[in-house]
Amino acid sequence: MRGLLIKDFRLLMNQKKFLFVVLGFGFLFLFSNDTPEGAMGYITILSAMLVLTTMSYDEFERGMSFLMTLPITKATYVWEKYVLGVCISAIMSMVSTLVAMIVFQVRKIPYPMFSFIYSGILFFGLSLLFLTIMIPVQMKYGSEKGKFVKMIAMIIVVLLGFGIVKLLELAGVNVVEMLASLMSSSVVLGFSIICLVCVAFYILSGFVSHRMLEKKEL
Amino acid sequence: MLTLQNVKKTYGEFELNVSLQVQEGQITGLIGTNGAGKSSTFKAILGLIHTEGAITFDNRDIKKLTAKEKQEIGAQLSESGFSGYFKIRDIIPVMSAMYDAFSAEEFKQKCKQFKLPLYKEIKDFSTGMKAKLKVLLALSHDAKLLILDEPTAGLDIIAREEILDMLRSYVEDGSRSVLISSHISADLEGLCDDFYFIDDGKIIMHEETDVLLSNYGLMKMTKEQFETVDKEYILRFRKESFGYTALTDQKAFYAENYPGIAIEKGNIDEFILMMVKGEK
Repeated sequence: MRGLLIKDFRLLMNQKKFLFVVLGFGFLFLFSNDTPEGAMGYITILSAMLVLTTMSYDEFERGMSFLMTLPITKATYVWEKYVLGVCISAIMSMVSTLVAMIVFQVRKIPYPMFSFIYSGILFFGLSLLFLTIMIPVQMKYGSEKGKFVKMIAMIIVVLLGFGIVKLLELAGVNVVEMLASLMSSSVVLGFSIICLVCVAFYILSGFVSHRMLEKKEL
Repeated sequence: MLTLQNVKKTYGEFELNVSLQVQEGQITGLIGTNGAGKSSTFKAILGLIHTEGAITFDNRDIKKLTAKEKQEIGAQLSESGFSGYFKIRDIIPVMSAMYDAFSAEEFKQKCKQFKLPLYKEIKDFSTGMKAKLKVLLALSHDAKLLILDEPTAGLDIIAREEILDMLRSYVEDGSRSVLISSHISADLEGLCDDFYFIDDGKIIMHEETDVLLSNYGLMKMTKEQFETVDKEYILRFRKESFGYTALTDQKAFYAENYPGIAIEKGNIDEFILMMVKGEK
């Protein structure tokens, strides 16, 4: 796995321009809004797309066939992408948190320190949720065919989310209030539960992706 | 070292069904026309496609090799390699992390020897440079078995000779095995210990190089000569404007018993043509 991580980080050095653009727009958002969440979410989740970029690079000119002749297993290849996703999401959520704190300090906008940190953790979790869906879709359909499928998958997930919330509301459960009460009773517990759920789905997604790659012919 | 037993794969109307062996310390050639099944055979060996049948490497099931055991195999594929956006200096740390026996310094020396630039993106390499890099990578980690799929395809004579020389040096100690495919049999005549001929997904002939070059021959006969000749050792024949051409694996027999028949030494390309196009 170490070799694969080195490969992907070396490939991502080619994406410096993309990262600068993302950070640049992130800065703009931070200077033009009075809350940092939009910018932090933008920076973190868009950066997570770099994992999908490495998968596209791997597919380029049938590169996957060659990669599988190296001393790695398909399982290693898949789990390396998930580890990469955690690394990139963690790094960029920390970067976005730090940048947001600095900008808001410079702008002299009062904003609780813990809110930056909780937002950073939340967007780290959301970034993982994003990859939970996108990595298996790209694994199955590839980067070209996958573009359309990824768009549909995101729409379905959003609709499903709204649908579940609505169904619960019809059953008398107010999800927003439930989350708010969970957070207010114990913020740490609330975030821990959210993080655990994100991590559990992320790991499940890894098993799904592995199964897809095992079935694939290169 | 490597054994394939009844390895089968179906693509629509094309069926791959091969059995072959690569002995320890030997270089085995797999020769066939385009679309004969060479690359499919290699993909089966490397686990890139799902197949029936048994494939063993050093008496171990190749499908169950661990990552560490896979270090013993070096592969070069004709249409695939490291991403074109890499430079050689990017590949070196990747190879160092993946292969215990990879030496960065030795590899850099080889790149210098073969004039491969370390700081240029691979997509900007010439065809010859890309081919040399792929072969160098396969040879760079002391593999016991090399699987080389058309390593000289699309190259000029000088580049081909450089690659073949690389291979000759690599196998000099006699402990390494190579399975190499090509549709340019002339490249492999001076390199391989034995050949498998593949056509339409099936092995149609297997012979040692020495036997091929010493015992096989092409007989050029008139119609009358063909009608009277003993056909026991004729493998294939073809009708020509002058009469018939026949492939035999016992040219000495015909030379002794039919001195009137013109017998040519032939080369492997001609033998393949007869095996594929000739009648039995």
